[in-house]
Amino acid sequence: RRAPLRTWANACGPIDRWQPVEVDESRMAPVKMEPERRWGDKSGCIILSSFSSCIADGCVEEHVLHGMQGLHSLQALVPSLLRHEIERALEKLNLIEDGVYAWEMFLEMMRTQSWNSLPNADMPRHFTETTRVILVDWLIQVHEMLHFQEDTLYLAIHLLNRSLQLIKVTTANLQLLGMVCLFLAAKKEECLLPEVSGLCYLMDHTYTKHQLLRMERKVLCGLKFNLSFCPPLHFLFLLASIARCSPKVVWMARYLMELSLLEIQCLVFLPMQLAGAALCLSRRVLQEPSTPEGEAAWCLASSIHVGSEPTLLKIMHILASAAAKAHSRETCASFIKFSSSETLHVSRHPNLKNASALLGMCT
Amino acid sequence: MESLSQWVREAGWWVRRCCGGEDTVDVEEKGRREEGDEEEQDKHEVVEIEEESSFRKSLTLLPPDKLDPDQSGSQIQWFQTLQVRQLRVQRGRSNSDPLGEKGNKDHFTWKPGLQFGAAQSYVSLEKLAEGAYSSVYKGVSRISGQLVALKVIHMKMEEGVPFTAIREASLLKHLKHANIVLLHDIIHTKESLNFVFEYVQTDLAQYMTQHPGGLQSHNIRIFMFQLLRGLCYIHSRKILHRDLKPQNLLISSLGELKLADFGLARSKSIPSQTFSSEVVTLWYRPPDVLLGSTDYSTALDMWGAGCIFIEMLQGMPAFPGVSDVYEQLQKIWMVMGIPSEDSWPGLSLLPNYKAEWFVHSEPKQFRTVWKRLNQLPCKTEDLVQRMLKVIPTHRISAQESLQHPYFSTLPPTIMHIRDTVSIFKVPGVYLEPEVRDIFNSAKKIRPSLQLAAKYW
Repeated sequence: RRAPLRTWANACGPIDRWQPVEVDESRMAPVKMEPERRWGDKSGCIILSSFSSCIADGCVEEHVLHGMQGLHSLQALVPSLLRHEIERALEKLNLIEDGVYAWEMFLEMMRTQSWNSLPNADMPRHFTETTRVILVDWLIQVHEMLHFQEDTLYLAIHLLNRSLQLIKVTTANLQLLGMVCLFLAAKKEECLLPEVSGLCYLMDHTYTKHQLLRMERKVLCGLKFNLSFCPPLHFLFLLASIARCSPKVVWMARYLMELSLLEIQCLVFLPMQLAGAALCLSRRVLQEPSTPEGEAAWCLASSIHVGSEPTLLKIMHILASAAAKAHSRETCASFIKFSSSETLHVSRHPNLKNASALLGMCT
Repeated sequence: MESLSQWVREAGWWVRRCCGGEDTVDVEEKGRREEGDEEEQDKHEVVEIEEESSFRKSLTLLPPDKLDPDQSGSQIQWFQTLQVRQLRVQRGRSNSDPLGEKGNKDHFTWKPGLQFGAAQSYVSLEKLAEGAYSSVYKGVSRISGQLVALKVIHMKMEEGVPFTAIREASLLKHLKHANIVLLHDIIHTKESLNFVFEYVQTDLAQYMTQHPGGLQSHNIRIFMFQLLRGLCYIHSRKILHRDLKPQNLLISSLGELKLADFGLARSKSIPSQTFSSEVVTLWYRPPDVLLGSTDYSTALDMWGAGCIFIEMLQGMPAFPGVSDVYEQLQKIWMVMGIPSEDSWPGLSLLPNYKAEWFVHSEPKQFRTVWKRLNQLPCKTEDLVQRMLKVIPTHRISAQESLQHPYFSTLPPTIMHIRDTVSIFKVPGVYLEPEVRDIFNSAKKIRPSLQLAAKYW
């Protein structure tokens, strides 16, 4: 059997060969559609499945082949369409003049996304899940207060997770560590930096400036200055752009993505998986009326390999249960943040309360 | 705002309670407070009142040029850009003799116990340059005996580790390419932060000073190929160099070209003239950026590469503006002709657009302006023309330019070597002696040695 379509989209193991783009194309040639295994969203795959059944059917294949000068061009049809869409989406996302590199950038994103996930979700014993939730929730509040970009928050939490696994921190210094991670993320991403004394003030001067700077160096050494990171929201925007999602769906997905920061189980997933699951769940929750164009676009977006179906379902379940209880939790910074009118009140959407049930129904 | 920060502080207290556990929090807090020095304690009460009112101000403003005007929360930053960092002193002119390296080795005891990341593993020799954030020293690694460039970052008490250093290190850690300067090691001591770079003998500016009147056309091709190869690598990783100029292109004694001076500002703007007018050169800046466009992309670096191309051919900068943006633009219009709203839609909407800056001038043929192009095959002029397009979207990309016929005389295998492999590993790729070297060398010595020996 031929390789499934999914494997192709990120057939992008380290390409360290100096090669023109065309080489990639031949690599993606072996294509076969596996509609039943795409994002667990059956509704989205109508077109592809009919398309693939047309290929699978022997006699039709013969006929089609004849018209299309060989199987190769037929197989390359969908990937090149997808590739075109990815490039267009990247261009739309502020890349207009760099269309040439769009595809390489996509490969680079897929390649580097593993920086963001951790091999395991083990945390030091004294750092319980409750403690983590409280700390992350507080960081979300601080982040919002300082008007940082969203990427900064994701980087900060990523640094926090990594440094907890790498360096020893006493329980009393956990808040300091969290703040330092946010500070480092801001230094990497932001144009406006907060003053150290301002950060100490936000922690009620529990820690001195000196302690904060010492912790900063400790963290940097622990992480070996490696603050590289592939912003998960880029994946979300890319997918949403290909799938032509409405703003509300995107906001909802952003809310769900942010909720994933609080969930310790989500540490091990790739950003593309999280983005795919968030977008998928968001569509189900909002249940916007579907249009043929929308379905086709969604179908195309879902043919980018984001992960196996069980993984995605697992993430969706985690997110759905997190969203269902978000309003009643004490740690509800994200819930409040996304209940404003700028965010289209997504966190208050009635369907979120029984999102898990919604999922169960479909599977 | 105040009530919000108050709220966050209260939440912070709650975090501490939860993190510390209900019982231990008081004890630990006490202990910590005793730990902290007394002076600091006394100050707190005063500071707190002051900060209550001035919290708004506590967001330090970076230099205004670092600010991105259209940085809205939801906008994605696609390009990490390489910040322009100006060294006040030019790169030192003293270059090591490869033969001399051996001599150096004997002076320092070679200890197998020494480790990377330890300060005593490196000995610094002489200062090469001094900048606002750092000083660069030439040094020797006691681990391998290799020469290294030590960049000492000055730590600031107020802000901790400078953000430029953080960005530079985290970016360079992932750039492994034969045409990008290599970051060997990071040494973190109590007082300072040192980056250990590979030592490269000279830079293109110096090389061109040594060989005035234009370089060998064969060597230009080799340098250009390496420059574009490096650019292609960083561009496909969403990184812009933004400060291409001959001083930032290091040249090894073998002829390997390496992009250097990667400060890593994420901001999209490049330093304005007012910021560091005495050092920032406008010569390599494209017209769209001179006109204030902040929406620039990889085309920005391509213009710089084109200017360097001309400079290597002519031995003179392509557009040596003397004083300001206006003059720089005039130099460009003199060759390219003035653009109009018809030829460049959106031109008049650029931030610095002034109608009086567009004095009529006719586009000229490149070969009449830069005479050296007359002597060379027309594909050279063609490539220059594609790189030096006034309209950024029309400029050729680094990737496309590598496929240009200009490079077709290089061995074809050069296109397929791995990123980390130098092009000089390909058989048939070598640097030819420059004209001046042929006249000067009475003895027959290898050109690679000769190059460095001259500087010694």
